[in-house]
Amino acid sequence: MFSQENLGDHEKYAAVREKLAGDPADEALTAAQELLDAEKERDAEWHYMQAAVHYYRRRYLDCRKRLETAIKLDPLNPRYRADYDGLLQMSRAAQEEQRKKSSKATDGCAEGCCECCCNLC
Amino acid sequence: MTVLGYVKYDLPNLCVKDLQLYRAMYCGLCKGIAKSCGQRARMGLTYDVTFLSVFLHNILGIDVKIERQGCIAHVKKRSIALTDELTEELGALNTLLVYYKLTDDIADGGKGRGKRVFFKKGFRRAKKKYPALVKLVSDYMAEQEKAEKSGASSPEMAADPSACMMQALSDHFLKEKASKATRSLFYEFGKWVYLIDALDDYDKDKKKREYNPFVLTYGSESRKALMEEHGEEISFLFDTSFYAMRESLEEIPFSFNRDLSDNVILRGLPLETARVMRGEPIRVENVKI
Repeated sequence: MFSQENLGDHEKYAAVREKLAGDPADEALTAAQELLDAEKERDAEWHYMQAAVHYYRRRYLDCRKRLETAIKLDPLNPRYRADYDGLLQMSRAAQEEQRKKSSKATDGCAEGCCECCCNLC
Repeated sequence: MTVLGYVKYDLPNLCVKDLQLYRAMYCGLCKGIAKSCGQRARMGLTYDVTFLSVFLHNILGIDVKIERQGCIAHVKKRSIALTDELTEELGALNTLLVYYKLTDDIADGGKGRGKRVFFKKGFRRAKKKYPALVKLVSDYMAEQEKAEKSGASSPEMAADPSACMMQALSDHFLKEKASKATRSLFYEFGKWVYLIDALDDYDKDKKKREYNPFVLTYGSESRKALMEEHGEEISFLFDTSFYAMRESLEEIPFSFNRDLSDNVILRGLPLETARVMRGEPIRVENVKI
């Protein structure tokens, strides 16, 4: 998600994109945030870039809210939609995992139970 | 806001060997607290730091030796993990977290002054023996207080200093074994601990008009109303964190059996989250082995 390719080529945000390149460290994220804070016009791309900063800072709900705003302002942009879907997929995958775990009372315990019983002897 | 007491295992899916190990580590940590901070500080023993002890020993490849020993709290001898340097320092961490939690409670106008007296000496001993650890914790506590006073604009922003503290603690203890995956896991773990406590305290904080990131962001009348009105967002907040924890966990090389760590992170934390979201009382599991 928020790959360099997906971050697009919007000239206005070239400096922000540069900070977000690769696997951005804390300092790079702080610098990207400062650049975004300094921007007066908050268009769809601004919200998308802000979403990227939240994502790399592991603030997934904040990221989602920014993506929703970006999509609202530019509903046809496929980059926004792709990352939004990716984010929702994270949540769905976790829910699916929990559902699987709760449906198996003793997940993978076929060997474990024997081992446990032996330990008790 | 220092929070303790939410990190639990999922008992029906815990093997007996892992329950025995957890119990031995719990008693071992208690003895570790005694060594680093004195007898009175043992009253602050928590499952949260016990879990850290289990997890860190495993990643660091420090084998735990378990012996039948006596203990002042129990008549019969029991299996106890022998204390080592790591356990003693974690004992100091346990004391620090309890001390700061009580300090936080006092600052919020609550009780705790009497209890804190029991930990004052232990806190001083920790400060003398582990100055780097104390500085790390106190710096992030100050950051947390600052974030809360400035009215952090979202639950995740509010949780950031606590999450960063846990991440920094993982670096402190793991040293060269620290990795991107361990940092990410501990960040998410710290975030979870902060947010689950905030969600659990929703009604109390709303009534007392104390800082709570969920009250500030959503303003619902009660925790129940919050879940009815914004339950999907709250679930998303925790689910994405569980996803990130699972991803990180898969990349961490464990030195020994990882069943216990997996049980707590992949099953215990989501179960506890579901309990708090439903507003149910704390799970008490008392199994004798």
